[in-house]
Formats: sequence, C-alpha cells, structure tokens
Amino acid sequence: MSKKMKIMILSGLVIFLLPALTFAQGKNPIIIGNPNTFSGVMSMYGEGTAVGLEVAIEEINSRGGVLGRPLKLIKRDDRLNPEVGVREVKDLILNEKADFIIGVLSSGVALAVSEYCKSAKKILIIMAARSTKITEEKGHRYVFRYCSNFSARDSAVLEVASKIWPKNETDKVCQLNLDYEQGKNAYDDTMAKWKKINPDMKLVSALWPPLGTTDWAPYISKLMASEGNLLIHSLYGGAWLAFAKQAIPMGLYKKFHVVASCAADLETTNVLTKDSPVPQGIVTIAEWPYWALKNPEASRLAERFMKKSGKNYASPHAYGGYLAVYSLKEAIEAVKAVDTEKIINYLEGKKIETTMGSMLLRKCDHQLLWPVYAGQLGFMEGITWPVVKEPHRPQNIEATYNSCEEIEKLRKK
Amino acid sequence: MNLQLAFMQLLNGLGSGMIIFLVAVGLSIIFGTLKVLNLAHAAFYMLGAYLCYWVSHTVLSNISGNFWITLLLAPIITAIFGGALERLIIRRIYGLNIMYQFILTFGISLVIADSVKFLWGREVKNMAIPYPFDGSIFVMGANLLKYQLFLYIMGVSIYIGLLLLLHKTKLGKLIRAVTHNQEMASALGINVPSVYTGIFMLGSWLAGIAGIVAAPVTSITLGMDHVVLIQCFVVVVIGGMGSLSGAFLGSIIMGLINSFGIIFLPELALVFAFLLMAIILIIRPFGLMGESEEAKEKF
Amino acid sequence: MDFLQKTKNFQWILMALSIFFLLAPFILQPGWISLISEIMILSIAACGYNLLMGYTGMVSFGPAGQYALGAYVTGILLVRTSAPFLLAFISGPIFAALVSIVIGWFCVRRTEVYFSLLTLAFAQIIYTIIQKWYSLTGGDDGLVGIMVPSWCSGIHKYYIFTFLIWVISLFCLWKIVNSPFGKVLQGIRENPRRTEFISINVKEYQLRAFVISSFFLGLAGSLYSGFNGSIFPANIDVIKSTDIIVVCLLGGMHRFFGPVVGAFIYIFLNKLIANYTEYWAFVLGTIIIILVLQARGGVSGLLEKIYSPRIIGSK
Repeated sequence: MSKKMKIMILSGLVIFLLPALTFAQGKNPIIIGNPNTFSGVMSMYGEGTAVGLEVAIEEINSRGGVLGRPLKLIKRDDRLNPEVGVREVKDLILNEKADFIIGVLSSGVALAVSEYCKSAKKILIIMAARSTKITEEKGHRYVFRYCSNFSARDSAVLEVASKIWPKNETDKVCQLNLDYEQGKNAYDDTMAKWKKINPDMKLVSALWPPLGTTDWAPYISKLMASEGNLLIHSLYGGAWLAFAKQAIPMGLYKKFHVVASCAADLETTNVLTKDSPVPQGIVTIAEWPYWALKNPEASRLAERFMKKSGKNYASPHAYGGYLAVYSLKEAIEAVKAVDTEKIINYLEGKKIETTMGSMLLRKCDHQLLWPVYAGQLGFMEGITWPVVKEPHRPQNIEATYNSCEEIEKLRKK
Repeated sequence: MNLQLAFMQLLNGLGSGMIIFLVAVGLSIIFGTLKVLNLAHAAFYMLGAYLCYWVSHTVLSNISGNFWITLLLAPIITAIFGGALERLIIRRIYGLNIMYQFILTFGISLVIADSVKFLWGREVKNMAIPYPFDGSIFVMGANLLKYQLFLYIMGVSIYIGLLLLLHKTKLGKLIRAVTHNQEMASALGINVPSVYTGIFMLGSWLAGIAGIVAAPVTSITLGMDHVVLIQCFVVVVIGGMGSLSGAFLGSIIMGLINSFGIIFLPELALVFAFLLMAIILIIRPFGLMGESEEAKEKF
Repeated sequence: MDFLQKTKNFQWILMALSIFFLLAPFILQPGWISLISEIMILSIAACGYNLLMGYTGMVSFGPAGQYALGAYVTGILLVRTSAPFLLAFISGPIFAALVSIVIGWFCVRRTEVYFSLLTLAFAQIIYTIIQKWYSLTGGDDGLVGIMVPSWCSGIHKYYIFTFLIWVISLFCLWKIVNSPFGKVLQGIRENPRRTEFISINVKEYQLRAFVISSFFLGLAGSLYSGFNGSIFPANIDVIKSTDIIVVCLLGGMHRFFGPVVGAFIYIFLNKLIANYTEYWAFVLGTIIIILVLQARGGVSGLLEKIYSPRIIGSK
C-alpha cells in the first residue's frame, strides 16, 4: 500500500477519534433536552412549545437557578421523523448528558422516543403529542404528559355538545376523520362516548380522507347528500382550514351541528379575521383559554409568551412547557438532588397549581389531568381572530380521561 | 348511491382534476421535450401558492380583485425563476443518467422548500376564495362551489391554449421539432438551447399558475409539495409522459378516482392510484396517450 | 480504480477499518457508538443498492420498499411471535429477496425512466400497505418494543453484532462484485446491447442483481429494527429512498467503498448541520446540487483525484 494511502487512513482514524477527545461539559448546568419539530407540516406548533420552556428557564435562572445550578435548554429538530427523533434524543442523553427530556409533537415520534427513554431511565415529559397510547398501553414509569390527550378532548367537546343541542338534533351522526391512527382513534372514541350520551344515535356515514387531502368538495357533497345532523370530525391545522373554507359556501354548517375535537388551534386561527369565512358556532376545544380565564397570572404569562415569540397569540403548548419546568424545579428542590427516581416518586400523585386551577398528576399513567375547556367558536372583544367565546370547564375533569382501571386492562392485553 | 350525489361527485372530481392537470401538464411538457424528470416542479407549485398569498396580502393588499392581478403577474415570477434555474443548473444535466436528474432536482426542491420556510415562516397561510367565485351555486338540488366553475374554465383554457400553441403557432412548431429530433433541429439552425429554456420557463409558469389557482381551496403550508408531486407522477405516467392530452385525461381520471373513491373504497384510494401507475407501466409504459414510437426507441 | 480492485488492498482497508471499529467502544462515548451503528446499517443498505445502481446501472427509485420489508418482517416476528431472534432476523432479508423476485421480474422488463418509476410505484404500494394494515404492522403507531436477546442488547453489544454483519455483508458484496457475475453486471451497465450480443441473458442477470440488492437492503432494515427497538412507516418512506441514493452519490457510486464513505459523511453532516441551523434541507439541497454539477464521482472520486494521480488520458 502506498505511503499516501497509509497517511490517508491514519488521518481518517484521527478525525473520527477526535470527538472522543471532547471533554465532558461542566457538571454545573441542569440540562433539559427539547426534541421538537422545526421543519415540515407541523412545525408551527414546535415554536410554541419551545417558547414556554425558554421563558420558564429565564425566570428560574434569573432567581438563582435550581439548587444553585442554572438550567440549560438544548433544542433539536426531529423533523417529524421517529428515526431522527430517537437519534437526537440519544444524542441529548448520551452526549449532551441531558437530565430531562421535554417535548415531542407527533405521537409517532413520541412513542419511539418514549421507548428509548424507558431503557435509558430518563424522564420524558410530553408536551403536545396526544395519542392515548403514549401514557396508557405503552405508558411506563419514565414518561409523563403535560397536556391533554385525545380522549379528554373528545369527552369535553361531547359534553358541551350534549348541553347545547337537543338530542333529536344530534342523533344522526356523520364522521369525518383522516385515515391514520389519530383519526381512527378519534372515530372509535367519539362513537363509543356519544352512544352513551345519546343512545338513540345512529351512524349515517363515516368518511376517511387520506392524509394530505386538500380537496374537500367530494367529502362535503357526500355529507350534504346524507341525512346526518351531527358532524364529528378530528381535522386540525391547514386541513381544517381548507375544509371549513369549502364547507361554508356549500352550506355544511347550516345543515350540521359540528363537533371538532382538534380544530381551531391558535396557530391556525390567528390568521383569520372577521372578514374571513369562519365556521362560527362549531364546538371545539380551547386548551388554554387565557383570554377568558380572568386570571391575571394567565394574562401575564400569555403576554410574556407573545412577546418572546413575536406572535399575536400564546400557544397552550408554551404553557405546558412552562409548567413542566416549574414542576421539575419543585421536585428537584424537594428531594434536594437531580435524582430521576426520587423525582418521579415525588411527582406522582402530586397536585400542580396552575392558572386553570389545581391539576392532579395522576399516578397510574403520569397524565397531568389537564382540564379541557370546550365551547363554541366565535369572535370576542379585543381579539381579531376567532376563539372559543365561553369556554366551559368540564364538571368532572378526571372523568374526561380514561380511568385507571381501563388503563390497567389495556396494559395487560 | 343516488344519481344526484353521483353527479355532484362528477363535478367535484372534474374540478380537482383541473387543478391536478395544471400542475401535471408542466411536468409532462418538461419531460416530453427536455427528457428531464423535474422533481422540483411541485416546489414551483408551492412557490406559486405562497406568492399568491404574499402578493395579495402585502403588495396589493388594499386593492380589490388582487387575486386576479396576482394570477396574471405572479406566474411570471416563477417563469423567470425557472428560466434562471434552467440556464444555470438544469442545462448541465441534459443527457445524463436519470439518477443525476432525479437527485439534482430533488436537491433543488429542498432548497426551494426551505427558502419558502425562511421567507414566509411556518404557519398555515390563508387565501380567501376570490370574488366573483366565492359562494356556491345550486345545481341539481345540491350546492356546488362556484370556484369549481373557475377551475373548469382555467383547466380547459390552459389545455386549449397549449394545444393551439403547439399546433398552430410557429413557436409550437419549434417545440415539436426540437422534441422530435433535437440534433436535426439544431442542424436546421434552430437555437435549441433557447427553446429548451423557453420550455422550462413554460413549465414553471404553468406550475406557478397551478399554485395560485389552488391557493384558495387548499392548505398553503410547508410540505404541500409532497402530496402534489406524487399525484403528478401518477397522472403523468397514466396519461403518458410528454403528452398534453394524456395529462388532461390522466388528471381527470385521477380527480374522478378521488371523488368517487371516497364513496366506494375510501381506504384503497391511495393504493389504487399506485397500482394503476404500476399496471400502466407494466402493460403500456408510454401511458394511455403517449407516443408509442418514442417508447419503442426507449425499450 | 486499480488500487481498490486489488484484493490485498481491500483486505488492508477492511482490516484498518475493523481495528478502528473494534477500538471505538473503548474510546468513544456511547452516543457516538450508537451513531456508528446507524452508519454501518445505512452503509449496508447503500452498498446493496449500489450493486444495482453503480454496478449494474439500474436506477431504482424505491430502495426503501425492500428495506421496509426486511425491517417489518423482522419486527413483526419479534413482537408478535415468539420466534427466536436469529430466525426472525434472517427472515427479513429473505422475505425482501423473495418479494423482489416478483417485483423485479416486472421491473426489469422496462428500462430507463420507466424502470425507475415502476420501482417507485412498488415502493409506494409497499409503504401504503404497511401503513394501512394496522393489525399486523401497527400502522402509524408503529411497532414498538422490538426485543433483542441479551447477548446483543444494549448499545455496545448491538454495535458488535452490527459490526459483524457489516463485515460479512461487505465481504460477500466484494466477492460478488469481483466475480464473473459482477463483471457481467458492469458490462450490462456499460452497454446492454453488446452484452446481449455475447449471448448473456441480460434480463436474467438484471433480475439476479435486483434480488441480491434487495436482500442486502432487507438485511439493513432488519438490523435497524433491532437497533432502534421500534419501526414506523416514517422510517421507510420516500425520504429513506432518497437518503440511500444521496449516500451513494455523496460517497461515489463507482467505487466499492463509496457508499460506506457516503454513509459516514451523510449522517455526520446531518447531525452537524442540525446543531447549527434548522434549515438543514437548504444545506443538504445545496450540497447535492454542487455534487451533481461538480463532483459526480462523490467524495471517493475526489479522494481518488488527490491521492492517485493518473496518467493523462485515463478516466
């Protein structure tokens, strides 16, 4: 082998060994890893989550940190891809020595990352992924959720629907859900729950548009031709917007009472104005209705988040992230160490004080029992975009989530 | 399923077919003449949609009828951009192994997509359905979006316009000559590189138009190019690469599959499209209306 | 490249790399070990793909399809049945190879762009079936909890396992490429008609190349399932296909070790870029453009120009 070749191979070896020579970072900061989505279709939700974490960390660090140590946030882009997500979380935990992982938008990435955090024995706090599987069937000791899940959302909107519309106007049900896991779960869940509320109900039509559908006219025509009077759908974001824009002139909202468990997220609605076609009167959720809570702390935080993100709305994910960081702070200070096992023991079963009352961090599934406010979409004084005007707080918050017995059964299967 | 619903789905399917046609025809033309598989085509479509939003919300925001002005002006931007791209980059890969074309245009689509993210951010953009096509009309007892009428008009006009261009004008003759036999055309004194640039610009212009036309009835969001690209490919294969009428027919078929599929076999609609693509490639690779002599040379 | 064609030199390189890989667990942090495992898996996929593209000249647009079959078959066997690990592991690539006999039979009957589009269509069909068949594959929720036996579980032990498979795979591919069969494949790439004239049944050889390539793609998929402990449709979509193709281009598709080099650079680059900017797609796209316009031989082509000066007139 020529001398040049040998030199080349040797230099290659050295270059690859260089990373090993980087010394471990100073033990001082407590590191929070934030796998988030900054690219692709869901990236607008990613910004919101990061803002909450940043604000909380700034506040805490300005007051001396936790146990004298500053908090440090490392953000990573998972590109909505489980492969990249797991790789980034591995890097955060193994190389960056992250103590906690807070984040993850998509349920698919969440499930993959959750598996890894379980084996790595690091706390993962989910802030926006809502599939119930994450904390139920596939739940485990190390995963927590600081936002509502789909089941709670379904219960909340159906509760409001049953209160404001008479049963005989909501007994012929049409379902419209995207043809993937989120849609299928929404269908199963809402059908079971509505049957309990309105036993005379029957399913008239169930439509399954594929992911990425933008042309809603055929679906709307089919719905209009049916004899349904209640439409339950789980569309969100851009898909919901395109659907609503096409459905309004075709008269869908005159024919149907509409229940939408995921629509009207702030990231999408904030671009609408009074002149835009908006489906007013649909029943949807408001994850953190700071505009109607009449809670000064909520308003203050919303202002902070808006200022930090430069947007005209404050994302509920930001609030979830904010709460998560403060919970960890409280736990670390209580057990006087950054000790994962002790922190988990401390947090389980704890009541967290929030601007929406006190929330129980349930032991059986580590789900923060987040109250899902729901109500009808409309315009309010002082806000240019449509919001849930009179958000209704569920009477029994724990009842909107699946019970611990049901979860035990699911896990045993 | 009753007749009224079937008729509505027919009308809906034709409408969505028209949008697909507007995107696919540019791809087909570019492939037919330049023999380049332009994966960045859908990115131009996305660019067109974002430009539509931007121009009508900022530059022309207080002018009524801004959508129509945008429709006239914005595709020129995509055309110019396409021309520049062709001159600087695309012309260097003519005749190369198809893999290079695939991966190069893929790279270009990444650059365009991220540039869109950089320029306009991540949030969904909203483009209202423009007057006078907002609202609906009552047809056979059901509501049809008025905008569908606009889609029919656009789709058919572009189709007829392109047919006339190709078969009745001198420019069309040049294009057909260059497509048929590039060496001979060059030997006859035709400035082939310029014709190539022109064709790429035409394709980009069409993609821009498609984006603007689609903007009011679709979600203007990052990643909107991916779905469209796959649909384009299927259409162009079914109709025949390089065939204008093939693209028109293929798009209508695609639109009708989408609108009728939801009634009969919703889950299978997507698989069906790819199966159809595979079947056509196996049985009749030059598509329903492609030119078989060309294909004979190919395989 | 004469230099690499010599088996002696190939053995030297493989040995040098092996020493590096074997020492790495003792020197590098676990995060890097995990990354190197991923690189090895990607390079097996890319080398398998390159047999088809670089050596036989058949440009498939759908390597993710066979990768998916390997990954999911192994995953399903490990999660839903109590099949022994090695059986489940080898079933992946075997299934991928069997399916590719059928797919390949149809595909090789078309050339150029039609071949490519047909491979894309099949890959999309596989993807859609996997995504929709919830009861078998878990659909979008994916298959999680893929367990590997304790002798290869954990980052370090799985790394050694991956490394062994990697060495064996590269060795097999090397043998194939340098055999008379491999020479025929290169002949087909250069000029299919002439190869036909020396009474080679071109289609048969192309089909064999397709199936062998699919085997290695499936093998990479199976390795990945065990590595990750979970598999999702998002791991096997069109992006995966483009990853594999870019890796071959980046590393150099006319050199045996090209895809290996490409896999290293690609994954490191991915990580590096992502740490500095969220506009990774822009950077990746720009790199691709520069590569195709200026450096079609990829990195190994560039290295070759620097380290092996040629006499004027040769390629």
